[in-house]
Amino acid sequence: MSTAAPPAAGPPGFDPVRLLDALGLPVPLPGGGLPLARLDGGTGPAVTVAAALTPAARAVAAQRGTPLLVVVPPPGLGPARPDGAPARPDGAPARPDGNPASGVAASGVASTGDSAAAVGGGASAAPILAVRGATAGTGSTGNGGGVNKPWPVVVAASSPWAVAGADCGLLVGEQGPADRSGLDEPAAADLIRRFLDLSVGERPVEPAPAGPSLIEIVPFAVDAAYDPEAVLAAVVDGGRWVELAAGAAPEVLTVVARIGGRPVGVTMSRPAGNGGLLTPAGCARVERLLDWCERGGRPWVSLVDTAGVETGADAISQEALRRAAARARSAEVTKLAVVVGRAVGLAATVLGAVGARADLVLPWPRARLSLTPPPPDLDPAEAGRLAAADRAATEGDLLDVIHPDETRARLIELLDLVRGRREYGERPGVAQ
Amino acid sequence: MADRGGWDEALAALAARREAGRQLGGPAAVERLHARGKLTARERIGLLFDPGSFRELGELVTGVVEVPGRPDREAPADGVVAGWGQVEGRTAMVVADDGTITAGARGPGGNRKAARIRDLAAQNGYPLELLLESSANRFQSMMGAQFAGASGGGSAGTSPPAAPWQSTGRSPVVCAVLGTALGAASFQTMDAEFSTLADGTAAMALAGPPVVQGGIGVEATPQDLGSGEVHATITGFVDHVAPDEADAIASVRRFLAFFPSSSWELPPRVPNGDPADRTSPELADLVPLDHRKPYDMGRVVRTIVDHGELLELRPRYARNIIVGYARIDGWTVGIIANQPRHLGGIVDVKAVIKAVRFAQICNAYNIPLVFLQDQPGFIVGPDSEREGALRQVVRLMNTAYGATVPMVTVLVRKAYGFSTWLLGGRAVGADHVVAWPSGAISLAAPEIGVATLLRNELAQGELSEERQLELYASYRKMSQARWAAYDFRIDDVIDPAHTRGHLAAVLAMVEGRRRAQLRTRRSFDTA
Repeated sequence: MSTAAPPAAGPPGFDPVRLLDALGLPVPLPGGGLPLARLDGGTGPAVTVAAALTPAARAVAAQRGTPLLVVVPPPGLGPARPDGAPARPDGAPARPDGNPASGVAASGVASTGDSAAAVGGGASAAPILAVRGATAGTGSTGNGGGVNKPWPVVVAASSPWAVAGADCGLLVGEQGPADRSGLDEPAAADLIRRFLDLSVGERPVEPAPAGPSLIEIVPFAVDAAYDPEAVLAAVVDGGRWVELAAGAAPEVLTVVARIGGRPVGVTMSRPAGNGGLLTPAGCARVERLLDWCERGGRPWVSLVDTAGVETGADAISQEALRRAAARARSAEVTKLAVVVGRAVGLAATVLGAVGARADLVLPWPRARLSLTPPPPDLDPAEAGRLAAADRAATEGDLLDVIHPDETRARLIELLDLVRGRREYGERPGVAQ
Repeated sequence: MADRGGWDEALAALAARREAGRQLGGPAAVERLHARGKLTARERIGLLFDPGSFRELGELVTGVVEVPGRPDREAPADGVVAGWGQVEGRTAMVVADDGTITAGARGPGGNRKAARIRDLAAQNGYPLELLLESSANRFQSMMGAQFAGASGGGSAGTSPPAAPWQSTGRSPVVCAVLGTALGAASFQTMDAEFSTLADGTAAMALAGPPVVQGGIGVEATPQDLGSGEVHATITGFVDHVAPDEADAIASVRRFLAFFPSSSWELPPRVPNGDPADRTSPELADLVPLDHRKPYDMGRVVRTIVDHGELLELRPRYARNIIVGYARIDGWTVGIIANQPRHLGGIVDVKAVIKAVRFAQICNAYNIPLVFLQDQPGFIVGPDSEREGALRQVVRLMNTAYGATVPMVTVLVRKAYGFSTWLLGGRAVGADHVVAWPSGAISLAAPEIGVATLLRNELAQGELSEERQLELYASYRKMSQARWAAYDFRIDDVIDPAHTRGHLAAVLAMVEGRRRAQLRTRRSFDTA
């Protein structure tokens, strides 16, 4: 989306050869088109490799039923071909006129990933990546999905503006709006591997790591500090996740993980510091995760503890909040919210706890749900009583209150039950 | 560092509230219910689901019963127990009225709970079981203007209610009437894909005794207004009138085993050890060749289907036609069969009403229809005309022509008249029509044909009895089903003993078409 000009001189980009090598993909390979290869020397999952995020590359990957791995060559290493097939990462000129600079310049000013792919123009470059184990394609990822099933996309690029389409599954970059930046090739390869492991196919349930009871980790008082990552680790399979938009907004963690063997997107409030007040950047983070959930038909699980919003009165931040709330409401994914602590106002909607058409909302006994922060002239005990989760459960607005240690088991059970937007498809005729 | 004290207190309060919900209206109320031959909501749910599979939602909901001049009373679970569980390993949702609290009437919290379960079932394509005691709103919570904002049973609170009909043909709603179902409960039952009523302890009507007394000054008990007997024989509104609650709930389980969870799935195929190619030589003996001799078509059906198991619907209403679910080689089928034992199997107005509803439901849920024909045609005459025969025949016509589900027909004996087309004829698109050698097809029986065509001669006594018999014999020969097979107006003439194997093969053949039609919604009307 950004049309920012490329930096005059940045750090050297990913070396595509080194990244592919670190991923265990054979380099260089003879062949052409959009190569299909397996990670880790042929033992890992199959991926379709492209040099740009183009519709054609997506279509081919979807047809094969593999994730799409886009390794965008940095400026100077040659542009992609129009169909998104990899250019030569060895630095050889990609254009028939032998002038790599022309392609680079065009690529640098491209405003979207797709057009970045289209500017190279050259079609005669000898492709360096090729198919190995190509016939092992479709079923090899452990997921029997058909051609219409959206598959995860991983983009590794040193020039984020070249792949600014916000819908890719994981964007590993050198800098800028990437999910993770500043990684060297082995670290990036490790992240990509973990991401694919978490997001492709269903797996047997892997228990969360044994740990202390969550009521030892989280104090009962709703304003007391605790370690949200310890809570998350107790909820997701193996305590493992890959963070999207890492570091973008401290008040909310957005991750890809598995619960009960099933890939899910998780948002987790981080109330430490400002009480989890949601900022416009946090809203953007949540929307980014919802993109991922919606594209892949993944359930959204939200662990909510937010004291409200931290937006100025300015129109831009109000708009960001309003848009994120509408997005949370309209997202056509399975939505399960666990209210860990506070769920206040529109921030609670953005995080799926109130008014976001969640399939089920499960509060912990310490949860407090309210439209506004408690007014200063109200007795805190009375404010707590009014906002208490068990009051909502008693009146039938919420259907249960759960013990924190039940969280994971209940989520697994409900992800199984609430298959609607995942398997049943449309939401048949029920006004909401 | 953790505030254990706060946790312990809160968790203990939660456990206490759950326990209160489990006690329902208390031991005395439970005992009163039992004394009336009834079960509690939890006992009913225990019978409905596979052991240990029930998962409750809204256990903490607690209502308040307010009666002027009396102290307020807590209503644990607010009159409704709800959640989900497994029936033969498949997920289904349940909303069960609690007869121990204000006779099964709900408060607003109970309504919200029930609405949420209903939405979850509809959105996710699960069957919804309604175990109805009253399902009414608590009178006092509807007095005054609160009534204006009350929801009819769909999404509560934030949005307009979803009318029950919106979900017909999507995921099945099953109603077990176990108390006096009035208002919403009776509407839902009329709309349900399957309904059952516990005879003696339950009743269903549009309006109850107080309203009847006030409205037209007539004293009537709920049983007078809508007993099991009334609905089994006169209205035909209830699919299965059960001798008791346990049998009613067992029938729900039997029904669900035949049915898909939603119209987006095919019904489960359950191989059950009855060989597809099992032959039934006894069939030829069951059916007399003389068209006027009655026999029991129910026995024919049970001989053909897996293990003789037929879930017959409305068996005492329009007994001249049999409808019900069965399996053939594990495939769920909907059987529609004329019953010559009653009224000679004639198709009258009630038979059409019974067949149309059944065919529409099978069509909505991708359940192939198997027709067994032995019929003299539609009933005629002033009585049936006044009963509205024309409208019902046209409804059947529209249903038959509109059906997209596979239809397979076995012509057992006679197939006379237009009704033959509409109940599984090739004319309305039956996939496969076979006849037994005993089969006869014609616009009309020979006697009627002669009487119509040679009306004048008959009137003037110009036709000798001998000549008439000759003519009948010649018509009878012309009507033999084999002629239709010779020029492929029907698919085949088969040995009755091989009917089962033949049907099994055809059902396997049409499987692909059923798959292709999934995800097209076909709703049904409620008549």
